[in-house]
Amino acid sequence: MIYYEQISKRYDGRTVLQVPQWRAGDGEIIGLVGSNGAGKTTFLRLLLDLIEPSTGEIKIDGQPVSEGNWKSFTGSYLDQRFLIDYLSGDEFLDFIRTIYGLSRPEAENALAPYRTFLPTNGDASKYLRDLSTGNAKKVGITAAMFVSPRLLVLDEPFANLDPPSQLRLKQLLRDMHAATGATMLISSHDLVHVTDLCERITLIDKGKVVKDAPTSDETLEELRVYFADGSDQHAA
Amino acid sequence: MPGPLTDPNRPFRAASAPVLLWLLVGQQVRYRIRSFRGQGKLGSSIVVTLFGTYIAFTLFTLGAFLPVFVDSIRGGASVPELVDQHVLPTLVGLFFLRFLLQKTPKMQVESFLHLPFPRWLLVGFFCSASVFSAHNLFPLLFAVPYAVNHLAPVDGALGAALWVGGVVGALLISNFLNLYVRAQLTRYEKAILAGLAGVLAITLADEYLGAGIIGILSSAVFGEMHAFSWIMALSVVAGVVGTGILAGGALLQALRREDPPVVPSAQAGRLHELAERWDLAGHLIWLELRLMWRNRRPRHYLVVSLMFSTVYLIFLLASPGIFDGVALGAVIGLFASGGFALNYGQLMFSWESSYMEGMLARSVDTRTLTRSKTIVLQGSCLVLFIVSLPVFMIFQPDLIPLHVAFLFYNAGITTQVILELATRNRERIDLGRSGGFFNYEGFSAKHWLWFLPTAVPPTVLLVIFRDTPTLAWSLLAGVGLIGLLTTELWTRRHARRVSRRKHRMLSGFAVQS
Repeated sequence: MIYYEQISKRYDGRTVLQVPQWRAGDGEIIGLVGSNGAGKTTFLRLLLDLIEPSTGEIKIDGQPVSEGNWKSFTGSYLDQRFLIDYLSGDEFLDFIRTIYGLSRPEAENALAPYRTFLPTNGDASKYLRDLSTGNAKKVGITAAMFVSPRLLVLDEPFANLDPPSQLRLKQLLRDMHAATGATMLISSHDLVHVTDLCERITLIDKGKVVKDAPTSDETLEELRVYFADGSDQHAA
Repeated sequence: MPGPLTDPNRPFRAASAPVLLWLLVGQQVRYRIRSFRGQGKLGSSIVVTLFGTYIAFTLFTLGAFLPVFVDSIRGGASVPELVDQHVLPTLVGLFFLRFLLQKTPKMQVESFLHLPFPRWLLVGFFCSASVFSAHNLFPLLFAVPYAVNHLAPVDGALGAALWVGGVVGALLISNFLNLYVRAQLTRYEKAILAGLAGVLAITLADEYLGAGIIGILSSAVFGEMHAFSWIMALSVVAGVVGTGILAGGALLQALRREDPPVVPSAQAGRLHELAERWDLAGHLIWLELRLMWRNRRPRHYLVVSLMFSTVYLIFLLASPGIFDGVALGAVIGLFASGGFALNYGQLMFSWESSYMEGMLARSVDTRTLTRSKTIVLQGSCLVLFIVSLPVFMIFQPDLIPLHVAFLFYNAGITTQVILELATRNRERIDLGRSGGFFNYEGFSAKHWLWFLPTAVPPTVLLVIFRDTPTLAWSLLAGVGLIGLLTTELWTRRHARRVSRRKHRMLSGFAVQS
């Protein structure tokens, strides 16, 4: 489904990401892990055509991402720049509904599983800029998921969420995958959640994919050892 | 290895006030040099420098050789009396220009609040630094050569110096008053806008009825100044100090204030239902309307445009002899129905800079996005046309054809020219923080220079056909109509531009101001 071919991204002559080849098949749940500044977000932003690669090309379903055909079946949430902060949570989700062409009853049905995840106690009618970081993020993640995309891209979805919400989100992702078979690309620093949820882990360090393998019982421990030893040594 | 800052016993001590002040001066000098260089854009810098030089040269020449000009217009009039009579009315007029255009130092102060600077020092420094503004410096290019050449020989050096001091004092009072008014704007928005409208109305009545009270006051103040009135000089000094304290105090208060959130109204629900009947473009228009209404700065643009199309238009149209210049007709025509498109439209896309990534990563195609913006701008032209039509009907019915012609021109051409500029926007606007009125966030030199392709063609057309205005208006309307009929072609062009420039746009929007 996703093809990265000879991708590199340079800023001011400094290469921040170099991926000769990387692929994701239909229905895979892939976890993207790495230290701060390793290049995970750049990896995702290139996929969503928010930045231009210095070299190479990314394709989704055989079409270059620059053509934009993928947008109709992709849900994504990277950060607060994906939220319209002068709308309330309800208004924002309604706006997303219209973008993806859902009727109101369809949207109500689609949102039903997310009601326990979304902010409550009147927060749904507050402007997003007045919500806490965690609650605003819940709205953003829901907006990416409830339209039942074939491709879901999330950056750090577990960060800033309280523990019950993290568990709830993990279950929602599992349920969505079981129901739709969507391809999911999830970047996270939370090794426990990401290895628990994802069936494949791509480890990025200093802008390079240094490990890309199916998740096994040992993956969590291997990652812990990798990061405990210092990723610098590994990259060297 | 504990260093001085990690020693838990070391008390925290901020640098002394003079050191902090020196740091601020250095920062401010660098900031001004950067601003002057126009962010490294050579073309913009050259045009801005040439334009500034032209204005400076004109003012200097006028000041140095004023009797020559006065003789040719009003032969035999006393030059000092004429000047004294017009200083204050001119400064009142310039105050409105300053109110619309001069930067407020609030945002500059806010960026230092997390550092160990005392607030009074920051406020005092930035209020003082605000006096080195073009709004205060350019008038002196007229005042100083005028005083040296024409007052000093009659009243002596001291009289001339006192008169210049009076002008400087009046400029400083105007500067601080503007800071005060704008610092209070968020708190007393309606009252202040009503007050300004009231001042405009009084000025208008003063001018229209021929009372000339402001002129009489001006003659009294500035006539006294070059006649060595120390009481008047001390009064001006007291005025400067008083307004300076007032401005500083208001700014200090404004730093502690948080804006209350705007609550969605019941009418919003009804408009939403209307948008529901449309396709995605309808929802994007609805989103743009909420952007305007729920965020202070775009809301102020809306209010200013409405004010121009009503109150200020009355001031212009009711003034006798104002239509001696054809160019003013073009300005009135452009702004009466196109004011909102010109002001708000030039920052389109930047208004959405904080969430444009989310828009472009979702299923929103650029053509629908630009179409919705075109409809918003064209709609604003129609609304302002209707709002300002009664003013034309009452004060200048002869100019209704001009107003109609410019409706077509603004809706068909001006909106497209402005959207062309908007597709080049790469400056971020943080709606949550960006304050109100004309704080310049999101502006660059190109926004000023774009006034040329926007305003010059209709002005030139009106000038060329000045003897046959009906023909000029018909041509304007015709060109506008062609623009309206080809709206879809323009929309496609803008959409292609947005698609092509989106990465640069997003990379600029990601930079925090």
